[in-house]
Amino acid sequence: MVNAYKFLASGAVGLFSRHKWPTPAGGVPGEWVRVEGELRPCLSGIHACSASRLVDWLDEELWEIELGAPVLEDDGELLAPAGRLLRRIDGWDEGCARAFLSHCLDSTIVLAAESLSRVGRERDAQQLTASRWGPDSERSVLELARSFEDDPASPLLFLADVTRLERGGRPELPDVAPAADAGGPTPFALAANLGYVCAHITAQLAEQESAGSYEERFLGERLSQSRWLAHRLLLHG
Amino acid sequence: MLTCRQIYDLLTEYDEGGLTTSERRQFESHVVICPPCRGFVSQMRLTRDLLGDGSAPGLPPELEDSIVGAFQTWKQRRW
Amino acid sequence: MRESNEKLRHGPAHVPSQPTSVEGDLLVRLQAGDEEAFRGLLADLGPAMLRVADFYSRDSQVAAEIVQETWVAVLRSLDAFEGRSSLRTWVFTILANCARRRAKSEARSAPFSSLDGGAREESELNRFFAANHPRWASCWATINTRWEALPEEALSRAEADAAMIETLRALPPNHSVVITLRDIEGWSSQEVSTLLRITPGNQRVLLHRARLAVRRALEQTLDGERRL
Repeated sequence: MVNAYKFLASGAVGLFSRHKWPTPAGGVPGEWVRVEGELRPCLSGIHACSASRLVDWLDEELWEIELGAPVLEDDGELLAPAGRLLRRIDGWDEGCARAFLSHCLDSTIVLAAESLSRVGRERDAQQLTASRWGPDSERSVLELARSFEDDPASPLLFLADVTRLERGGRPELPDVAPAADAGGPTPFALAANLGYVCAHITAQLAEQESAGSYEERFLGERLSQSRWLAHRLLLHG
Repeated sequence: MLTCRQIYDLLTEYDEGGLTTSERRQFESHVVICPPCRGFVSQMRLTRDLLGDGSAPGLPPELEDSIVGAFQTWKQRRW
Repeated sequence: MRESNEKLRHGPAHVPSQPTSVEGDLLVRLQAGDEEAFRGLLADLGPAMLRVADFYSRDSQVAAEIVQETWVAVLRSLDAFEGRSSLRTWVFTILANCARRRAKSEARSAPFSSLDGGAREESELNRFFAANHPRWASCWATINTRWEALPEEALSRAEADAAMIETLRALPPNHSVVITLRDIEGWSSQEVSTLLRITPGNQRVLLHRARLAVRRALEQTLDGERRL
């Protein structure tokens, strides 16, 4: 019996259903939520995920959920006629979301730097790592962006975008400093979005190097991201 | 994976059940990881909520009286 | 207040969307000249009828006349009504016919050009990166904040309602009628498609465009407030 998890928007609300879930209190699980009728993925039924698919559904709150039989499983995606929330995974908070994103970006930059080294572009590799860990990384990332201007589809330019987005920047508006009250994305939103983009960049690099198909590499990277998060949150299954 | 532009174009189809299961899955996968699309979806939801909470104001009394008058005339002519 | 809104949203309890035995009873009472039944029907359908007539005529006096003419026509054909459609679909069909007849006879060339609505949608499309952008193809270029609820301090309920209705009045009438009947009055997709004699798919397109227009109007009003 695989453990099941569910991300919800703040207030224990389903993102698409807008259904407010009954939450556990005093050690007692939340009430059962049941759905009548045939189970149909994305249409009808209680949806949840296993620990291997966390990153596909990142949102503000993470809950462990118990599903009622029969539980249909499709590659880590779970569907059941009933569910109840068991406990909130408190470890998933803004700090964790930031740490997750930071990890994704670190991994992707290392992979990209190694990829550059392998083809003899040592200087580019150094410029890339400096944009992340160098003493004047703000300036470095802009230089990086400028260096690869002529190759606008370059994964490195993409990485420069992501690095700046992580810091609250707007890559399409290079001269605008991020405004504090601009209503920009939350750490959860950034984690969801940029985690995806990092996997995309990694897969692009693999494809460029003919080191596997984009699809395989992308899914592999997402799996790896989910595993990191599951470990970090001490989740099982 | 759908683009933001497709989310923008397809939201009503999604809500009205006009997408296939596979399309729904792609739609949701995108929205989940895309902050501006999430914002857009929530904005459209609130827009619909506000519309749904509203109602047309009652008929102006003169118009109502006039129509009821027509009913009374009709009724008299019949009976 | 909320209760009566609920009634209007989901159809008044005694005028259901599908012909039923309850509606059958109402019909019998109407045909028998029951004034209370008629007043009830008028109260339930009248307000939405006036609004729809206004979308067609863009003139409150003409709209009132259209509604009046409609009810006269309803009464005239009441005995012949067989109940194949719901009462309200039937009444609104007559309304739509009256409205169109009035529009023709007054040779009104209302500015229903697709350019008008199209132009505004154009400016919205600028908010996306180009489809051939190398990294962010067709992505939003703007931040869209989440609207959890109407920020009452920025925009009162009355102001929001006014902005929405003004927007609807500026749309081509098929758009405004679809969104009014679906989202404000709570009609089903099938009912509206039947009334306007369009496919459900076509109806969804009109509904989508209308909803986008209302959202834009709310956003402008909200943004306008924030800038102050």
